[in-house]
Amino acid sequence: MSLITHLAERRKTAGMTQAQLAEAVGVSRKTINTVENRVFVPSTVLALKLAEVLGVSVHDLFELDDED
Amino acid sequence: MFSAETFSNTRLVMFGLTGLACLTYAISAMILSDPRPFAWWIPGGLGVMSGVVLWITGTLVGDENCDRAMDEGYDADSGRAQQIAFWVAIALYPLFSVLMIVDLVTLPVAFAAMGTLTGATFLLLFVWFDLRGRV
Repeated sequence: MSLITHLAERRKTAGMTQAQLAEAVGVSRKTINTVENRVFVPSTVLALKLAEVLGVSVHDLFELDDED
Repeated sequence: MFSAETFSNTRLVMFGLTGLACLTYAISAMILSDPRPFAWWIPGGLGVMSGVVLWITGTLVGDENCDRAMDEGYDADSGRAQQIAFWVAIALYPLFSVLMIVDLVTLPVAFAAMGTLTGATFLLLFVWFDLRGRV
């Protein structure tokens, strides 16, 4: 079962760059990039931090791909 | 001026240089059938230099940026590189045993090549995973 991510859309809606979001949650820009590109599945802690900074629920950022 | 990217980029360059030096040493040793195809201290020296350069860079960028550059994405890349490099290192033993049995390499050459290949595998895999994540 894979993860569908809406992080890029939500980040752009919030008017943030990858670097700004990375700075806000305390990770590298590359990690944000890999999460957005579905290369890396973030930890629960990082997912919660991302949701908090973007002012949304974790479910607005990530969902499970039921077709897998 | 200094950021987590500074540390990440420095790490990428130093790991890449050291990995390439190790790989070149291993390939040269096997092609030339010489356990010292070039100055033996170059791969190890680059490894030590990498440590020093990264320590200096870490001091310059500060603890917060170091933590950011060594976040869970780094752990994932490093972990995957270590997992693969471990099995490659194990696989080198039967592989070089066969090569020695058929007299393609001597024990000193195998010793030099296996040592440097083990280091090169982790370092270059890490660089590959890191680069792939940046695209």
